Amino acid sequence: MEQALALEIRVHIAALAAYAIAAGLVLFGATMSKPRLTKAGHLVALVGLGIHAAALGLRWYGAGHGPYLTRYEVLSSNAWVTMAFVQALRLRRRGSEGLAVFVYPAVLLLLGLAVYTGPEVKLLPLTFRGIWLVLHVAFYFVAFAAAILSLGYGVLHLTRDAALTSRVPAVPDAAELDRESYRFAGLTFAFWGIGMLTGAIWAYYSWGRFWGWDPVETWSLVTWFVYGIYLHARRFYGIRGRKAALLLVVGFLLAVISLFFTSFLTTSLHSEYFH
Amino acid sequence: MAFVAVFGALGAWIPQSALGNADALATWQRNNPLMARVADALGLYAIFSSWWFLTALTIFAVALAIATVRLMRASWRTWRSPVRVTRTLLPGASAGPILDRAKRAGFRVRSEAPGRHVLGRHGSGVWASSVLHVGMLLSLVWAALLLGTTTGAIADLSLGEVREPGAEYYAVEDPSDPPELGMPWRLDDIEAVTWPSGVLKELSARLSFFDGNAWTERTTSVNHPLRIKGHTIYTQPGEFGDAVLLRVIDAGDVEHLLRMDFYFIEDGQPTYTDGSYVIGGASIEGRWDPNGVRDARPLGLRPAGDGTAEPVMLAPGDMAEVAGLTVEFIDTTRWARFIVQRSPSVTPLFIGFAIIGLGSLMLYAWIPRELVLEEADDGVRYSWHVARMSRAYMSERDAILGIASGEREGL
Ligand code: HEM
Repeated sequence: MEQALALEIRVHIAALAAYAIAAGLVLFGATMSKPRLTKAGHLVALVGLGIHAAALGLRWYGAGHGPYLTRYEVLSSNAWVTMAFVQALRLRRRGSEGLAVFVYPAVLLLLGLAVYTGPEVKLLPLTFRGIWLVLHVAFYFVAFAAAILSLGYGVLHLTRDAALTSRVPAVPDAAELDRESYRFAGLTFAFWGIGMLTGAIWAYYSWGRFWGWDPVETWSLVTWFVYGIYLHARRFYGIRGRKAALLLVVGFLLAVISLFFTSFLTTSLHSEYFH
Repeated sequence: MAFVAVFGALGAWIPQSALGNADALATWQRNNPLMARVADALGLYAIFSSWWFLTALTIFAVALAIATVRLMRASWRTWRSPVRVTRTLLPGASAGPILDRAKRAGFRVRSEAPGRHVLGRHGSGVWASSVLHVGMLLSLVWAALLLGTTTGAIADLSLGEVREPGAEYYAVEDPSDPPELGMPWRLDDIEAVTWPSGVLKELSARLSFFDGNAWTERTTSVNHPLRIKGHTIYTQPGEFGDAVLLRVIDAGDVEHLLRMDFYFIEDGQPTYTDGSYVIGGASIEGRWDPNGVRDARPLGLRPAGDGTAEPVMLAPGDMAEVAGLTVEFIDTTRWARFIVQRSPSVTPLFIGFAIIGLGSLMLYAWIPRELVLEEADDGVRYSWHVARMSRAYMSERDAILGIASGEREGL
């Protein structure tokens, strides 16, 4: 166990290094119009994903519970799920490669923050067990990864004509970027909602309340609503393109606040462990 | 057209109500941090009190209800809609290979007449937004009901202690209407399992309930509360521990029986009473050291508030003078704290949640597609319908029809 944890942090840092190289290669390849560099970057990212998986596995084994308790674990898992998502997308569908320019640095940032917060291990508190908690965090992981991707498409859409983005090879046309960001916003909405509701079920069984307007819950609800408003807006007002992308930026900022900042507020039940 | 108009008009005010609500929530949360803290600390909920919040919520619920009804009507119409006419001709094509490709892509035959085939995939997806909004409506209504009617109290019991109906609680949310099971219940046992480090791993309590004839045993544990007769009983980690039973004779020679409670301490260090105990005009506090860290005798007593006083140490059976009281340490036992809540069943709420989950997954995983084929002398006529995100499915259509991507249907 101890050994696993000692190794784990080193493996994590190796993954971080791989992501840094990947992000650098992809950005450099894009700006310098060197497709071979970009390709190499993707490969390194894929390898990094494998290393990262090993790190999380070691962590899981060493800490005795899934990587979802401390901020370190949560950020690292977020980074992994996002990277896994973008790799799956990249390998399956052409045209999603340009996304890497945005997502690789984002993943690098997430994992960097994780490592920065430090790998202190906490025992799983009593109330933090059971299937509802696992579903709760798992759905939020996916929701957040989808939010990053949808933001990525949105940002690509907003900056399509900007110097950097216009050089990225294989950036799809504006309509497709818009559609993809819509698709992933929908996914965010669905998974965020389920994450929130499973959280409520967990809270009910643990604390005797399914909803208590604590800051984490409230911000989470507001975030979900903003994604809902985005979907309504698209459908009813035909809001597309720039405006839609800007609304997504708002939604994403709220998501970040909900996931990473609200738990610092002392009134939150969650705050005890997610620091 | 009417369909579009109706929903366009609806949409003109709907997102606003949703927006207003989102803002309202955030504002509420900013304006009432104290409330949130109180509600949190007690694990109780005295929220939902401001009239404007309730009003906003009610308007929202009504809007949602109206929308849900309309959505369901619309879904029903789409579901039952007569088969569309085919428009586009694929010259020289034959239906057979197209049907094969469609079936391989997961399409199923909806109806078939000589020379005419209707195939569909994820047809039930037309219900997605209906399902989602029905779930939200159900959850919202039931959540309001629960939040409005749930009332709670806190009961402390020691091993073997029976709680009679109407007995006092340690704390009550609404003193005029405390929850009450209406039958005696008793704490039989507390099971606490710890990790090697001493940290709590599992906690459960065995309770017995007397229905007038016999005692029935039930268990409540952390994350698995016990539901009985419209009430839910929770244990909380850390809300239990050792207790000592004392016989106290005060300065006026009056005898009192006292139970002094200590909280479970994870590292096995001494633990102190939470506040003081007042008996016969004197007040004392205690230290509990079951592992003998400070003293071989586990119980220390001293006058309350006097941090400098050396505690008087007692082992079971010992007697001593503290703060003018004669105290005899009779026995040790254990105690646990329970949250007792009276509330309607939570099941409809969770069903509502499940419906929301299903609906929102349906929205993005089950996009209904329909392909109508009609054999003609000069080829095959077709039409293709996609309910949402239609552009994303053009390549699927083209693959099934065997036409080069990019060709437009001409619609
Ligand atoms: C007053 C409340 C509401 C009304 C009147 C309303 C009405 C509607 C209507 C008419 C649709 C169109 C569905 C279709 O044609 O298929 C729709 C779609 C939808 N609604 Fe609502 N809704 C309300 C609240 C909400 C809330 C609170 C959420 C979640 C936060 C939500 C999430 C959605 C989603 C995700 C869609 C699907 C949009 C899409 O097609 O991509 N709605 N709503």
